[in-house]
Parts: sequence; C-alpha cells; structure tokens
Amino acid sequence: MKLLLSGSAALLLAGSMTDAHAQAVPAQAFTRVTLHRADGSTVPNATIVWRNGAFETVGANATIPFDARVIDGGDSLHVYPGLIDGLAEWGMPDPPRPPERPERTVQVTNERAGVMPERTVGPIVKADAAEFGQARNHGFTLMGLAPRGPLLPGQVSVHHVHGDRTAASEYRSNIGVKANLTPSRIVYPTTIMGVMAKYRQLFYDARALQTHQASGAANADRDASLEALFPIADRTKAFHFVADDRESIRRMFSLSDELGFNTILVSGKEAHTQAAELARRKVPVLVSFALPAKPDTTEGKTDEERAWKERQSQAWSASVRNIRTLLDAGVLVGFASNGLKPGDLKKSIELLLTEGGLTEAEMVGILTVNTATILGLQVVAGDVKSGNLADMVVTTAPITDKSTRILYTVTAGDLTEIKAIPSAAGGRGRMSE
Amino acid sequence: MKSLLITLIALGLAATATAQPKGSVHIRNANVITISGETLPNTDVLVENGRITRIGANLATPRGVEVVDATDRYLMPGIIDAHSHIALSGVNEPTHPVTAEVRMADAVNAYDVSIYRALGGGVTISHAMHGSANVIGGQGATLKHHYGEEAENLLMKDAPRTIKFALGENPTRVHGQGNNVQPRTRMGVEQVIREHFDAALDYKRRRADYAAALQTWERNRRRGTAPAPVARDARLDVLVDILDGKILVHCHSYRSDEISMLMRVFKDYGIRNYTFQHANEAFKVAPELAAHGAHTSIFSDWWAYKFEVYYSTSYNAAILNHYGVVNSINSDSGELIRHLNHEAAKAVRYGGVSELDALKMITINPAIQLGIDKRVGTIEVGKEADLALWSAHPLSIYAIADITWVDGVKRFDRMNDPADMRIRVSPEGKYSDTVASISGRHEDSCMQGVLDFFTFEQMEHSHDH
Repeated sequence: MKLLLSGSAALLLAGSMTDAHAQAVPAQAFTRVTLHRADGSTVPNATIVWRNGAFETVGANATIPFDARVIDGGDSLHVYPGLIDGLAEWGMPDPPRPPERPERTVQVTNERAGVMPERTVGPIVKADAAEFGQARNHGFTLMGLAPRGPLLPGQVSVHHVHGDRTAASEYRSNIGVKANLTPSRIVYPTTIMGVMAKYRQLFYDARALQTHQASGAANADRDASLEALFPIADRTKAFHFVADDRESIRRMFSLSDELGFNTILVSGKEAHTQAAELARRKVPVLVSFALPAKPDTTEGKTDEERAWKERQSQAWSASVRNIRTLLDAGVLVGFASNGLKPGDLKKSIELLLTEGGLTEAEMVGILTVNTATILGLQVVAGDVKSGNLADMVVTTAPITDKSTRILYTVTAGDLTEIKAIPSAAGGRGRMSE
Repeated sequence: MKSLLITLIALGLAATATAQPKGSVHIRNANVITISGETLPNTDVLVENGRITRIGANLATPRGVEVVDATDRYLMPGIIDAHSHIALSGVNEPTHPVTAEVRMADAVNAYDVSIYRALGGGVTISHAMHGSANVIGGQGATLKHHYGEEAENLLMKDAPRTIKFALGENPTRVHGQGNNVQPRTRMGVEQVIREHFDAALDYKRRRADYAAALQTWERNRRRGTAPAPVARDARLDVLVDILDGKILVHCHSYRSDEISMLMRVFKDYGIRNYTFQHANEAFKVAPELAAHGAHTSIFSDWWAYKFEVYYSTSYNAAILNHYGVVNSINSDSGELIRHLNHEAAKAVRYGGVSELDALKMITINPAIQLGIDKRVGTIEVGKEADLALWSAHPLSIYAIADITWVDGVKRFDRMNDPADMRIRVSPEGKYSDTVASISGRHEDSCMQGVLDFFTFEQMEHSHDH
C-alpha cells in the first residue's frame, strides 16, 4: 500500500503565518481512515486532527487546519485508541533474590520484608528497557508502572509510552500503591499467615501515626512507609492488588473488609471464580492476558486418565473465558501486562477472541477506555475524541484480522512509524509474583 | 486406595457461599451412640435446619425431609480432631520464636481434598493448628468440614479462639541451634514465654495509660501536646487475650518435665483451660495434670520419631483417663485423620478403657478442649447435627463410615462417592504429576515449611512432629 503524505502543511505555513489559527506547534491529521471508537462503534472515512498532544477534532466531517501535516489513509487504514497497560513492570529491577534459607539473625528492615509502599518508579526504572519500545510497537501509548517485589513494592505511576523516553515521560505520579500477598522469603513474613498479620500491623501503625500527626504534636514521628499508607487507609487511593488464585482473591476481600481499603484487582487469573463477588463489591479488574497452555489433547490411556483430561480441559476453558465470565457478571475489566512480554500479547488476543468468547469491541474497550477508567483517566484517555490525549494506533486492517499490522503509534501526539512486525519470539510471558 | 481421579463430578459444591449451610434429615432406626448417655437401639434422630430436634422411636418425618434408613447401623457424633494441619496453605511462620499474631484462619485452603477424605472417616471438625516451630505459634482455626464451601464457611462460627504453643526440641532446634536466637534450651523456652507474657502485661498497661491520657487531653479541649499513641500490636494483643482467658492454649509437648514447667508458668500467670498436645510422657504426671485441670490430646501409639519421643506407651490414654484427665486422641496427619475411630479403639485394647470413654476421646473430649462442647460432641436435642453413620460399631475394625453430616448437610455418602472430588483443577500440568502428588501419612505435620531454616546437619536428623 502506498500512502500519500501531504506536503500541504509546509506550503500553507509559508504563505499564511498571520492566520489566527496558526500556532507554534503545527497540527497533524489522518484523513480517510476507519475510526474504531472505544465503545465499539466505527466511523468510516474519518478525519482525526491533533495538536500539542491532544485531539482537536475527530469525525467524518472534521475540518483540517491549514497548518496540518496530513497522512491520507486512503480508506484502508484503521485507527484505534492507543492501548493502555494498567500495570506493567517493564523496566523494573528484579526484586532481591531470597537466600536458600531465610535469614533470621539480620535486622528485619522494611526493605527486606518487602514493605516499601513509599518507593516510586522514577529512581529505579531502567530507561533503556527494550520493552518500552516493544510496547509502543504493539500499540501501547500509556501504561501504569510500579516496582516489582513482594508485599508492598511501591507506588503506581502512569507513563506515556515513548520508547526510550518512557521512563522520563511520567503523566500521573503515585496514583495508588501496588500490593500483593507474596511473602518476603527473606525475613518475616515468610508465609501467607505472616503476610496477613503484617498488613494488619502496618495499618495499626499507620493509623496511630496518622492520629499523632493530626493532633499537631511537634514530636510526632515521621515514617515514609507508613505515611504512604495514609491515603490507602483514608480510601483516597486504592491498593493495586496483584492476586491470581481464588483463595488469594478472597483473602484480599477479607483484608479489605477488616482494614478498610479500596482495591483494584490486578492479574486475576482465577477471578472468574469470584466474578459475582467482585461485581457486588464493585472491584474492577486489570486482568492478565497470560493464558495457560492448551492441554495435551491426546486420549488418555485409562478411564481415569481420560476423566482427568476432561476436567483439565474444562479448567482450561474456564481460564480462557475468565474475562468473558467477569464481563457477564458486570465487572469492569481492563488490562494489565503484569510481566507478560509484549510479543506474547497478539497470540493471547487471538485466543481470547476465538476461544475466550470476547468480541472485538469488548477487546478494544478492555485495552483502552476500561483501563483508563480503572486508572481514573477516563476524561483524558482511552478514546479518540476531542480533548483527549492524542493517543492512537493505526493498523492496516481491523485488529481481528490475522493479517493486520501496526503502521503507526501516536503517543501524546508523537507519531512513530512502526517499520516491522516485532518478533513474537521469546515464548510465553513470565508473570510476576 | 481408591483412586480419586476417575469420574468427572458435577461440583455444585464450589459455588460462592453466603452462609454456613444447614440441612435437615430424618435418620431412622439406628443404634444411637449418644456419648452423653446410653446407646439407644432402634432409635430415630431428627435433624432440622442443622440442629438435632428430636431423638426417639418412630418419629414422624416433617414434609420434605430426607429419610435415611439406618437399621443395624450405628450413629455417633461426628469425630472431632483436636490436632490437624489439613486444609492449610501454610503451617509454620518460623521466623520468630513468638508469632502469636498469625492466624491459621488466614491460611485455610478450603479446596484441600483431605477434608473430603476426613469426612470419609466420619470426621466433621478439625482443629487446624500452627506448627511447632515456635514457642508461641499462631492462632488455630476450628473447621467444620463443609467441603465444597469457601473458607469462611469452614470456620466454625463463634468457636473460641485457640493458640499453639510448643516446647522442647522443635522450637529450640529451629531458633536456637545454629541461629543464636533464644531459645536454645528448654530453660530458654520457659523464659521466652515468661518474657513475652511480661511484655504483654506492660503493653496492656501502656495502652490503658494512653487511652486515659487521650481522654484527659480531649477533656482539656486539646490543650498542650497530644499524647503519643501506643499503636495496637497484633502480637501483644493476642498475648494479652491469652492472659485474660480469652484464648485456649494448645501446647505441643512431649516430656513430663516440660509439661510440669508449663503448668507452673500458667499457674503464675493465672492461665487455665489448656491442653497439652502429643504429651507422650503425660502419663508420668497424670495426677498433676488432673489437679491443674489441664487436658491432653495424644496419639494412640505413635512415637520414636525423635529423641524426646522415645519414652512412650500405648497405655498413655488409659492412665490419663484413669486419673480423670480430659484426654483426646488426635491425628496430626492427613492420613491418620481418616481412621480416628480405630485410634480410639486402641485405648480399649491397651489399658481397658471403656468403649464409651474411648469414643469420648474422639468426640466430646476434643470438643471440651476446643470450647465447643455445648454445641457438638454428643447426640442431644439442641446440638448441632454433626453426625456419622457407621456400618458397624465404630470401634470395630470392620466399621466404615457410610454417611457423614455436618450441620445436617450430607457431606459424605459412601453410596454416592465420586472418584474425583477435587474442587480446584489446574488447567496446566501432567496427569502423572497429579497422581504423584497424592501421598500418605507424613504429608501434614507440625514441622511443615521449616526445613528451609535448618542447616544440612539438622536436616539429616529432621522429623515431622
């Protein structure tokens, strides 16, 4: 396919600098594209104009400013809202490796116990992580980032996906605290019972400190870790709680009820088993797309083995239909890579569309507006509409078409041409915690 | 062993639960071993909405209630296991000699098929305990075996709180030997307990002082500097509750000298109503135990798995019973829990305990030790309908449990016993791995999860309980 890149913008700029609409930053535009909105509707022959990082006008009859650099889609390109990753751990250093034997003679510091809710992404993120470029190549324009590690590894911030500029492109800082039920394995707590007890003690300590500070006492202590929990205890921010198996999700409910905090469930591979409860509690899910490998379908040698395989097959089907079950229950579902490799995403999407029971519109919603809503960004991101961040991805065909490929990713107005389909090599994604 | 993996079952069991289930059933014409009195031949037991409502001959069946013909069979209270580690995702938090703050209720694994196997042995309640790595371990969970429900519906509502203590080789080995953490000796174990009780008393005073200071500051319209809060301490809170008599202590122990030691310590701190677990040498101090009102929960005949457990006898139960000690026989094992009736029978064989007293050791006596004897442990009108129907007298080696009810809900029925009772099935993994994961007697034990803490030399001599 040959694209027509118009040079009209430069010519117009040269001839009419006195125009009232002329601005320091020129506009850009796509014309004659099929626009796929986050709600699943499509706008054929659409024009999309953006400037200064935000959409200006969007629609079938949008006017193209004189200064716009125009890319003509030739009625064959498809534009989707930029994809949003609700919680990634790309660029994050590995957590400390537990020793062969947990250490008991050393001081139990917060860091060794995995209690670092105050830790922010900025100082630790590896700016040159290859995944940032790969994510952009796969259509991601915005991502939540948080440190890796057990228990309370740190703050969640939102970044524009700008390749090697991603680390420096923070859009929202510290929107919540990442949490999980993984024991430290270095020092206390090393078990699920210890982890639960640790959460309780942290909240007791945080509330006591908060009370003391609020009293105005000049001698009140300062404690960065506990202070980072104040907005969680106040419910002004939520735990972005990574949990997969059903008992962990129920333990999250239990702690939430007991200690009084709000949660966003992250990953939730067995969330379908708790779909009704998640809906009742209005707990949104940033779901994992890491799917189990399809079971071996060769016939078992005995009745027993055949019955076992049948149950495994049903379990696999339930896993692949995890999101379908959540949506049917009325749960708000977004997306979190949470360690999944960008190259594995396409394969997962195909499986979710073919065997997971999802429609294209639902898939687009999950990857865009739903995730934006869960992150509290629904008024600025997640859809291609006037006023939103100019985040979008341009493909050669609808995303359900196996032949489709990404041509451009636009992040906050910055257009990147994707030259080749990134390799999906690397096997299945590794999940954290 | 009958395979668990043959038939796909339609598990209506796994639905999200909302309340502890209760059922109704009319058990007709059984030999009813009431435990509270005589065995009643040819007797009906009516269960309505989870409770025993009538006991007698030829009772009328309320509309809609299932009738079970129990002719020539034996109905007894569901067996209660006062020492268990089944249905848990973790057993030991072995990073500190005192971890009173951890709760086994937080670690309940409601999907453990061991629960179903226990039901197959007529066991309706188990006491899920922390392991014995720590001097003061975690708080126990008294579980009703509602297999198929979520964890919160296994937790017996309003059951008294319990906690695990441990004396002797396990805590000294885990914490002391090679790690320079008190306790290294049995003397150190005593001191750890005393020091933590003293710390708890101090904490209680400081909390009270803070509350009073805060009240004064508020009354003075917040003039002056606010008092510094004394934060709740999850660990010391529990120790205070032990000292206030709100938590029943179950203490892992073997030797008579350490049993005597703890009775002295508890007397000093005013702690009553406690149970020695294992207690292989309890027979040596049976009169003293009776005098202190201390209980025991023992194995029938399991010993010699480490040095401190060599001086043991099958007559332990009979001697304790003779001296009036409330004694139970427990499993501490996912395998032993399946035939506790046979374990109780050994008390008849070794020492001539009466059949009734032997059965008390797996019903009302463990109920007393768990503080639930007003609710379960006997067949009496008003009690919760945890029942097991046996093909023969339960102390017979030929007896097998036919049906087990929990709160009147049939949770096991030998006539409808699907082969594959797993609730949670992994979408990944190999068939051969699942088969290999089924193991026996030593699977669940007091020392689960602590091998990481041992040196190589210690592991060479490691044991299970």
